[in-house]
Amino acid sequence: MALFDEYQVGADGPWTTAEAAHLWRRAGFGAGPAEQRDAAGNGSQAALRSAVDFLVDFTPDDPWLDRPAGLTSGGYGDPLADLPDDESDLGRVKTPYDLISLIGHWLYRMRYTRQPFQEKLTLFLHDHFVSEWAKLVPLIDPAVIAGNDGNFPDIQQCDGGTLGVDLLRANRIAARMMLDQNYLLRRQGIDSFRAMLISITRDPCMLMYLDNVVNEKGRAQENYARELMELFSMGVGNYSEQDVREVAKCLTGETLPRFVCENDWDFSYGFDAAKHEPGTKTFFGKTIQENFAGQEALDVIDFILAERSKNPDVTGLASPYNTLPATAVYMAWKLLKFFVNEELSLDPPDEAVLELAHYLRGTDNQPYPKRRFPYDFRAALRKVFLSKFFYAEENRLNQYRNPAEFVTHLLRQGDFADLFATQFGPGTQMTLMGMILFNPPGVNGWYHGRAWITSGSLVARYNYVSYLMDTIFQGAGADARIDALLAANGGPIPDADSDDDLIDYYAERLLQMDLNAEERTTLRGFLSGVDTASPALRFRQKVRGLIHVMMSMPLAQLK
Amino acid sequence: MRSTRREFMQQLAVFSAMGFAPQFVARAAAAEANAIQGFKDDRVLVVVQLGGGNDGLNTVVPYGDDEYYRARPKLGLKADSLLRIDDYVAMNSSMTGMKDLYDNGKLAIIQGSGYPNPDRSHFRSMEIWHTASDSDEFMSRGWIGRYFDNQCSGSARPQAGMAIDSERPQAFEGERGFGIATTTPKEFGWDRGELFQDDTLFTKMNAAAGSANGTLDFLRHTTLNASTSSEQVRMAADKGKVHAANRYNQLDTVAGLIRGGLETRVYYVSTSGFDTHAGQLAAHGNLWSRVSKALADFQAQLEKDGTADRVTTLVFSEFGRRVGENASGGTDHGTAAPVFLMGKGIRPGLHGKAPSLTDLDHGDLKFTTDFRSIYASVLENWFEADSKTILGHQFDTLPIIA
Repeated sequence: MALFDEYQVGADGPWTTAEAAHLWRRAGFGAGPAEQRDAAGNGSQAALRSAVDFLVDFTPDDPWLDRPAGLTSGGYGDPLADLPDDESDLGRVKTPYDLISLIGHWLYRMRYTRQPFQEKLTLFLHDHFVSEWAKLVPLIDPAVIAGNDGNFPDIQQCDGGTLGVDLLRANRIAARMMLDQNYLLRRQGIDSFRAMLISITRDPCMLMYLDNVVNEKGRAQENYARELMELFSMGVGNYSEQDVREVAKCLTGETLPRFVCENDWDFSYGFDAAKHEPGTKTFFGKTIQENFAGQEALDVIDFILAERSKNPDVTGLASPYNTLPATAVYMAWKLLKFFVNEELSLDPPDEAVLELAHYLRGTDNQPYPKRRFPYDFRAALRKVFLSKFFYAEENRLNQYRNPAEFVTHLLRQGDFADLFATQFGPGTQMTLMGMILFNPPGVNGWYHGRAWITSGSLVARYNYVSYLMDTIFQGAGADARIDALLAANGGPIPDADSDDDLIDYYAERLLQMDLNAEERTTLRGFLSGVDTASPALRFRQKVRGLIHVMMSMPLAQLK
Repeated sequence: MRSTRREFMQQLAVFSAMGFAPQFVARAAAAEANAIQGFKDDRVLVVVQLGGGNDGLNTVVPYGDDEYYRARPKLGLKADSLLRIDDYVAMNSSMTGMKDLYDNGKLAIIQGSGYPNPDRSHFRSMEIWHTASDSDEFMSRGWIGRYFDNQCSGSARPQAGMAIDSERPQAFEGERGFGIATTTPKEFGWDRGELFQDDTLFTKMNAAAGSANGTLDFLRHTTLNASTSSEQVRMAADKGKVHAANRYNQLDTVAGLIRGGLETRVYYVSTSGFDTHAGQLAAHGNLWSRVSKALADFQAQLEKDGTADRVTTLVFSEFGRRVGENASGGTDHGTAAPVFLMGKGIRPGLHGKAPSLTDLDHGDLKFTTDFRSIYASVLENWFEADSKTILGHQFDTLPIIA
C-alpha cells in the first residue's frame, strides 16, 4: 500500500493552511480562513489526523439541520395538505414541494451544514445512483395515468382529476420521493455498500426511474438490471447480455404494490410474488433457485459484489490483485476520480485504483476509523485524505469545481447568504452552469472534468457572482447586509485603507491560493482606480469589485 | 496530396455537362463571397441529437413485414394510421411535418444506421457516435473537432462550433479548441455589474501567461473563447432577432443565429427522453410529434430567411431499440436505427437497406449502413473536406448529398 501510506508531516511535506485548504476543498466545500487555520493547527501529524477525522467522521444527518418531518413514514399522506414552509430564514425550505425548492433545500444544507463531508459524499452518491426529476413527474401525474396513454399500463389507474391540481400534486410527490432518496443516500453513505445497493434497488424513486416497478414475469424489463451492473457496481465488460437478462428476471416483482391514487398515495416498496418470474436463473455462470419472497434480489447483489473482475489487466496481476472483485475496482476508480484525480484510468486500472480496490474489499470488523465491513467508503476515504497520494503536487488544484461546489464554496467562504428557495436563487442559476441537482442529464450522471467548463457555463458562473453582489450591495437594506457581511468576515479588515491588505484579506478568504504578480498588479490597478468621494462608499465599492473580480478568475474554479 | 480545388473543378465539369452549371457557378461564387470565417464557403451543418436511443422501428415503420407485428403485439403501429413511404415502410403518424419534407424532396432517410459490435450502454454508444471510433477503440476527440483541427484556417472563430446547450458536446473536442456552448446566446457574455465599464479587468485576470497547470490553462482558454466570441454571438442574436423567450426552442435559436450571420460552421442541439423502456406508445409519439414539428418549422424558417440553400441538418440517436417489445409496453436498448438528413442540398428519399427483422443478432437488428459513411459523405460532399484524414479511415460515401 505504498501510495496510500500516511502522509508524514515533515518527511513528505508540511501541514499548513495550504494543505488544509486542499483537504477542505475536496472533502467539503471550502472553508473560511479561521476554520483552515484551526485545521492546520500546530502543523503536526496529530493536527492532520484530527482535521481529517473532524471532516470525515460524521453521524448520519447533521443534527444542526433538521430533517423534514415524516420522511420515513412510508406513506405519503395527502401532499396537498402538506403546505410549504414560509420562505423566510434565507429561503430555507424544510418541506420541498417542487424542483426549485428541492434544489434549494439541498443547497441550504450544503451551505450551512457543520458536516460538509456528509453532503459531499451524498453528492457523489447522487451522481452515482442517478434518478431524474424530468422522468419522474409525468409518471406520477394522475392525469397522465388516468388518460391511459400507455405509461405504466399495469399499474392501477386513477379516476382522473383536474390537470392543474394534479400537476401540483405530482410535483409535491416527486419532490418527496426524491428527497427520500436523497436522505437515503445521506444516511447510508457510511453504511456498507451492500446495504446501500439493497436500499437503492428498493427505493421508490429508483423503482420508478429505471422502470423496475413494471418489471414482471413473462418478459422481464432490463433497464434496472443493466444499470445496476454497468453503472452502479461492476462496470462494463464484467457481465454478459445473458447476465443482464437473467438478473432482470431475478428482480421481477420488486415494485410499489400499493401504488394508488387520490387521497392516500402510497409509493412504498413491496415485493409482489404474483409478478415474480418462476424458475431457476443462471448468471455469472451460477444458478440460483426460485424464491417468491424477494430473496433473489439479495442474491443478485451478493453475487455482484463477489464477482471478480474479468479485465485481463486485473486477472493478469500477481496476488492479491488478480482476484479483485469488479465492483471494488469500479468503485475505487469512481471514488478516486471524484475526490482526487479525474484522469485516473479504470481500464487498464491505475495503481491507485488497484490499491484502493484492495482496501475496499477487506474489512477489520471494527468501529471507525477502521473498516467496519467490506466497501466501507468512509474508512477508505479517510485513508485517501491522509495519504501521500492525496497531497502529491499532481493531485492538487487539478480538478474543476462542479457548479454545486462552485456556488457552495463561494457562499461558505465569503459567508454570503442567498435566497435558496426562490426562482432567483442559486438552484436556478446553476442550470445555466450546466447542473440541475436532482435532474442529471442521463443515467450515467453528469459529465465531469472539462465538460463542466464551457464558454457558456463559465460565463454563467461569473455572472452568478455579479448577481450575488447586486443582491447584497443594492436595494433596500443594503447597509445592514453589508455591515453583517463585514462583521461575518471577521470584523474590521486590518488596514482598510491599504489596498494590499484588502487584496491579501480576500485572497485568503475566497481563494486560498497564491496570486501571481500580474494578477496582483491588475487588482491593485482596479482598487486604486475607485475614486468615489465618500470614504465609506469607496470602501464598499472596493470590496464589492474585489469579490466580483476574484471569483471571476480561473483560480476560483479549481479545487 | 489531395487537391480539393482540383476535385472541385472536376465536379464543376460534371455538373456543367449535366446542364446545371449556371446555377451552380452562381451559387459557388456566392458561397465563396459569403464564406464563414476560416472556411472555404458558407455552408452550415446542424446536428440534432436524440438522446436515450430512438426506437427506429416505430419511427420508420416496416409495416409491410408481418414479422414486425409478430414482434410487437402491443407496440406495433397499425398500417392505416401511418404515413406511407412505400409498400414496405411508413413514417410514424406523429411525423406529419417530416413527411411533408420527405414528399417535397427535402428529407433523406438512411435506414439501418449503426456500427459493428454495437455497445448497448447509452454513455459508450453516444461516445462512439461523437468520436466516430470503432466500438473497441477509445478516442477523446470528436469527429467535428477533428474536422476543425484539419480543415479550418487560423482565422476561424471560437464559435465555428456552436452548441445551443449547457454542455459542450464531445463531438467538438479537438486540439485547437474550437466550439462554444451556451443556452442563451442573447445574453451570452459578462454581466459586469455596476462597477465595471468594460471587460478589460476580467480579460486581464483570465489572460495570465501559460502555466504548468493544464487545468488552469484550459479555463483561461475557455474564458478567452467566451470573451472573444461573446460580443459577436450577442450581435448575431440581436441581428437575427433571437428571442430570449425562445430559450427552449434550440432550433429556432439556431435559425436566428444563422440569419444573424454568426461565423459558425456546425451547430449542435440535443433533446432526450427516447429511452422508452416502458409506456412507449404515447411517449414516443409525443417525442416525435415535437421533434418533427421543430424540424419542419426550422426548415420553413430557413427558407423564409433565404438561408436554406446553405444548411443541412443531420438527426441521429445513439442506438435503436430491440425488435421485440418488453412486458412493460416498452423496448430495451438495441442497435441500428434510421438517420435523417434534411435540407435543400441533400438527395431525398430512402437510402441504405431496411434491416432484416428475421436475421437478427440476439434479438437485435444488424446494421446495414455504418454511420461513419454518413459522416464521410457530409464531410466530403457538403464540406468538401478530406474525410479519411478526419475519420482515420476511408469510409464509403453514400449518395445522400446533392
